[in-house]
Amino acid sequence: MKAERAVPGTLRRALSEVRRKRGASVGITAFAMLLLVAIFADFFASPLPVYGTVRGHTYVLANVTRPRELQSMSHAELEAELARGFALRALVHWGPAETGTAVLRPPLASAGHVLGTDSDGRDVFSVLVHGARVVVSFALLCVALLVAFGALVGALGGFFGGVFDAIVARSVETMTAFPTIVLVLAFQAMMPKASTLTLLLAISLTRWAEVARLVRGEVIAVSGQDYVLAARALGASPLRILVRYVFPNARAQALVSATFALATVILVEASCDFLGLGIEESSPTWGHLMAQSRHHPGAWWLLAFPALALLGTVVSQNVVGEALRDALDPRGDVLAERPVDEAPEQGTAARSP
Amino acid sequence: MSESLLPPPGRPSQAPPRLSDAPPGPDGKPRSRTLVATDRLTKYYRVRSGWLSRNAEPLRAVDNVSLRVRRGETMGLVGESGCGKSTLGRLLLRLIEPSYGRVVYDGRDITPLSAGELRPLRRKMQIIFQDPYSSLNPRMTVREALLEPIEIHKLAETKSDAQQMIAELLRKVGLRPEMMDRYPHEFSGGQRQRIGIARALAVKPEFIVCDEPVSALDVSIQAQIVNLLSDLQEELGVAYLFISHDLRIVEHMSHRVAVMYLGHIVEQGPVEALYDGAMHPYTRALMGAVPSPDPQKKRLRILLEGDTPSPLAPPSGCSFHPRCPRMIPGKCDKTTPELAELVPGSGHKVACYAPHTG
Ligand SMILES: Nc1ncnc2c1ncn2[C@@H]1O[C@H](COP(=O)(O)OP(=O)(O)OP(=O)(O)O)[C@@H](O)[C@H]1O
Ligand SMILES: [Mg+2]
Repeated sequence: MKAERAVPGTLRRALSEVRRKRGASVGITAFAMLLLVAIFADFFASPLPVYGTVRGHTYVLANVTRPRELQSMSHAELEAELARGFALRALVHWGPAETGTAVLRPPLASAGHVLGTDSDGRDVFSVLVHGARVVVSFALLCVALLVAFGALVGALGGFFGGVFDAIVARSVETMTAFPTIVLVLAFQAMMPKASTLTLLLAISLTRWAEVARLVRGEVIAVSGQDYVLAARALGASPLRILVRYVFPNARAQALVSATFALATVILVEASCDFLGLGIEESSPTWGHLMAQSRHHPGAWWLLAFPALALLGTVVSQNVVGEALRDALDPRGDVLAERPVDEAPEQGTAARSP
Repeated sequence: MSESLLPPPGRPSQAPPRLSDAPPGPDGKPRSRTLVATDRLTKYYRVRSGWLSRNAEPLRAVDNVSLRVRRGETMGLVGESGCGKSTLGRLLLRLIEPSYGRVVYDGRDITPLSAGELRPLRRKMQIIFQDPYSSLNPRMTVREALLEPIEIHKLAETKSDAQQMIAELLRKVGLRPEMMDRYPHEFSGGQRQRIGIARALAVKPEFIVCDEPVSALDVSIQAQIVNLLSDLQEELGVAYLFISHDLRIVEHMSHRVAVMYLGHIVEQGPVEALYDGAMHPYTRALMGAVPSPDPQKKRLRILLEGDTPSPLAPPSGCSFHPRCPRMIPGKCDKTTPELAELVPGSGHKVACYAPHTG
């Protein structure tokens, strides 16, 4: 019922259509899981308990609040204390930065390390889970930045035209001619000190062009519609047309490009980490884990698990993006849009064939 | 493609024709019978032949058109596809900027006005489009679409006033006010066209450009929309520029008719004069293509030879001469005939060196 009332070409209709596609719903589920893991990383991997008593003191959600007394204890001490009474633990009892004596252990080879350990004895599962948090928050921030910028530039260029639009169009052509990764690596290599911030800037500065291209095209298409001309004939100001006609149409397009951008950003970020030009070594990321495998070719688990996580993320993003794009494609709407019955009009004569 | 303001066409400067011959209105103020007039209105588009080529060729979409629409009357505008009818309609409302020439609305030259100065005048002139599917925003309910003009021109003091206005507008165009909260895709083509008309009427215009308002509709629905437009004219005294390539509908709707060919007006006059005694060979050819419903009227059937020449490279002289059966070599292909009355005072003008007479 609701779907029938929804307006063609709008987000709501697109989302309801996307939900009906199996591939897309798998993609959405995968992304939702990634988000959940990122948000609740401390429940998946943390030495501190969700609930537990240590030295007569009961802690609730210690894995989130991280009380100083518990953090200052060594891993062995804490384990011993918690073993004494009842404790509700995270899935894995290792934090992402905690190093242990069990170094480079393959999966299941040593107790407590399901996915093995890295060259410093960090738990791989814990790094993956907390890495998801770093990756997702970095990617979301980066995408928010580049989509906002790209959409604004694309919308204004497409709407106002003229010299500004010519500059937008040329720079978009130039930027999209190079693979994002090449530009980002060049930018990072040029920086005196490559950091998370410069990476954020580098990716935003190169990837906005794609968003601007899509949004600009949409805006130009909308601006040529008769209903925009009608609004101008009614005396609507450019601002009103921008806000009431152009932005609502561009919003859907911006969401589609945001979905694709998310996949690219995550991939590019991981590549930079792998090459040591990305996020600081101190933060756990999938790319850092994979980078270690360069020095330890036999430790397949350092490469395989983060690579799988990356692959799953990127593929699910692209599936969702494509489904959204198809659902928003106005050409798909045209036929469905026409009412089945040419509704009765007063005094309708017999229809000529 | 970009628009450009090219130098005015090479034409000796002559005194512009007086456009507001103004007899005083009922309130003592001068009130001309002429509502909209154009003075040598011209629109060039610059069309790039290749993406690198610098020399853009001018495309003369509308060339030197001087036209008048009187208060409360319908001026029909006919011509083949691509001859510049829509461009002319949009120029009249200044939805596109002319390259040359003027548009005078109710005695006032609106060509130099800024967007802000034009806004109050926008209330007086409106447009209805051909495609009922692209003329309404798919994301706006009928209520939102009709609220737009009311908000822009602050036509209602309160929300409930606005509500009442919208309901009244819908009733006026034969729709039920309960349909207010529906989206365009829930309506048929004819109903959408009615909504478009309601939107144009919201500002109580004096002049509406109807750009092929029924061409996209079913034949049975065409008649309803045409009748609605006629009724509204009778009730509200609104003037129409009625663009169509259906000569029969134009005959039914119009008081006067102008015939356009490759951006020029080639013939213009009262509807009876034009339909019964077309003087321009092109008009005759157009009418020959219409099966006459009335066997009493004998209409000469001339088959048009060849395609319409491209407006990019219009023929020299009279632009119709390559297809014209009455072409006078050395004359028609050299100089452009002026649009002028053959019988002074008849109001029937033709731009031809060899018009059909008698
Ligand atoms: N924005 C534009 N840029 C370049 N050329 C244009 C533009 N708009 C219209 N034209 C050209 O101007 C000419 C007149 O177009 P216009 O739309 O006014 O014709 P029309 O008589 O309304 O035709 P139709 O019956 O198909 O609606 C055409 O040759 C068209 O290609
Ligand atoms: Mg047209």
